[in-house]
Amino acid sequence: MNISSIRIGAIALVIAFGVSCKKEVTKQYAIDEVELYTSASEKKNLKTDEQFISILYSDLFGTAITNTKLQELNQAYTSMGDKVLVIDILIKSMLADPSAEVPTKAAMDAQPANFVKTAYKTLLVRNPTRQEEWFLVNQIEKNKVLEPIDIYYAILTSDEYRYY
Amino acid sequence: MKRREFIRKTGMAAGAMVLPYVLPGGSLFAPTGSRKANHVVFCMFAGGVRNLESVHKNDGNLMPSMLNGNENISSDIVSSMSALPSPAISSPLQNFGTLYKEFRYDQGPTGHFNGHTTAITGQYTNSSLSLLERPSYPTVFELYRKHNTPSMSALNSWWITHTNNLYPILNYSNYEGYGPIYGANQLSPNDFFSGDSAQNLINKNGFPGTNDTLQNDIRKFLNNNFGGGLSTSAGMKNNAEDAAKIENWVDKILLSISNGTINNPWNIPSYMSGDMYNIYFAEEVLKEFQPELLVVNMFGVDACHTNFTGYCNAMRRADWAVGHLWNTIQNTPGLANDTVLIVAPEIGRNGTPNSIIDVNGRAALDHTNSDPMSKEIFCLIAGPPSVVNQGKVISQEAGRSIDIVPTIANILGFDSDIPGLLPGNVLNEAFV
Repeated sequence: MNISSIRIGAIALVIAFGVSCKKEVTKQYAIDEVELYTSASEKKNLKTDEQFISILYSDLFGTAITNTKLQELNQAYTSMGDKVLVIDILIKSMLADPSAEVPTKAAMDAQPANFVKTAYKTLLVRNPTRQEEWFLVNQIEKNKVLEPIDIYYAILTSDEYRYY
Repeated sequence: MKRREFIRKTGMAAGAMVLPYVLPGGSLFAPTGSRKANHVVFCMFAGGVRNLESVHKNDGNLMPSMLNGNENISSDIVSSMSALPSPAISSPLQNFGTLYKEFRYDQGPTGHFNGHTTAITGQYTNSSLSLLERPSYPTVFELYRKHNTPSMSALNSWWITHTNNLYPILNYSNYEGYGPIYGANQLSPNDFFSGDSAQNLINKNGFPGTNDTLQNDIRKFLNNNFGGGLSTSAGMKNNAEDAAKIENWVDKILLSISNGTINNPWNIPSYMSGDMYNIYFAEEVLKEFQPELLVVNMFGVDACHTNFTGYCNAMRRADWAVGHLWNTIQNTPGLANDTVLIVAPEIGRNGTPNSIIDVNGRAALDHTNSDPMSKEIFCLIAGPPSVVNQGKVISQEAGRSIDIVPTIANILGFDSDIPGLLPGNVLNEAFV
């Protein structure tokens, strides 16, 4: 199965967080399952603008983007010359949308390792390396002000998220 | 003199020689050439305007904010004209500058994209121009950012375009040695800040920005892990400080939109046209950032392909907006009395009408290459009396579209630093 075609098709695998005593639940909103990358180095291709917007939307809202919504967001994207800035604005707007599927702080603080694994699988379509998991868990435990939205924002604005 | 004292004194003298000085507009350092003014706003009175209806007033004075005269609007179309407030300008703009009544777009196809590209690059274009390709010669934005001394960030250079469809890519060229690192901030506010697009962005103000440092640390870690060598920064990009300023401004505008305060802010009876909103947002950029170079276009008059009366009406609205733009410039600290405003259509329209007749029995007009009238335009250059000749009218044929870029370069003092790229001339007749 071709990984990139699955991603471009805006397939969303959303891991829902429950309370700490619950088992991790996997919700699948689309037909195909998402095959995880084994490492970041497999990602060689820059997402096109439309792919980026579509995948961003499905990653955050757990559903494939509609043509109308894609057109609206693409309109905003092409309206500003600084693409790094406009992408940043789009990501912040979506993350701040109350319907964005970002785990709660309580869930993150209760099981930071689970949060990190899920964030990686949902957004970067791979498991974190041991080093990555350690670093992020450490950040969460050390910085009590850190919110899930901060980590999501950092991942979504990372270089890796631009690639598939 | 002791050695140490000698070194101190000569060091101070050398330092004094290279110390920056502050120009009247607040800029540090003088550019290579002397400047006429520290700011230029170029308004493409665009969409295709015929001299017959503009400076020759064949249907009356449809541009009372820009042109002197009380000529009545033709009786057959006057009842179709929308009500507009009195001009926002104390006296018609031509009194603050020099009017070239017989300016020419003298070579190249009379298409909008060709006209825009010529006006922005100072180079003629040919018929094979692709709407999806960036200009093949440097734009005025790149020339400014590359050759002005000291070099300026993109925050000083803006391309405010009415529509998203054709023109966003005019903010930089693919000419070797220029390109995105010298490009302008492009914004299509009518699309970015309006309707559904804005609704998608409005949540942004709820984004908690309190943990910037932590976010940056995590992103840096992720990027280092990813390999670092891969670049996602193709295209024009602001530095971090400027990007933050623009983002804050966007937040302010979005807040105003959600508060409903950007709903006909000029109180125009009936409605504000897209051209008016484009000028409105250009003014907001001018007020916020006081850029040294801003180019803005309009497009409403292109209704003339199917509706001559609508064209006249759009011209009146565009004219009113230009008056408002001048008024805003003169009331903005940093810009007042230190800005040259250039207004010119990118192309004209045909002398021969097409077959579409409007409700008032007037025939519509296209703009085709074979019709010489589509190459006849005007150009108005307004500015401080110490810089621009006031109330001067040049009635004979003089000036071409390709002269606007060298004129802008001359105003900002970097024209002599451009290495033989521009075929046009400085429009010296306009200047004191």
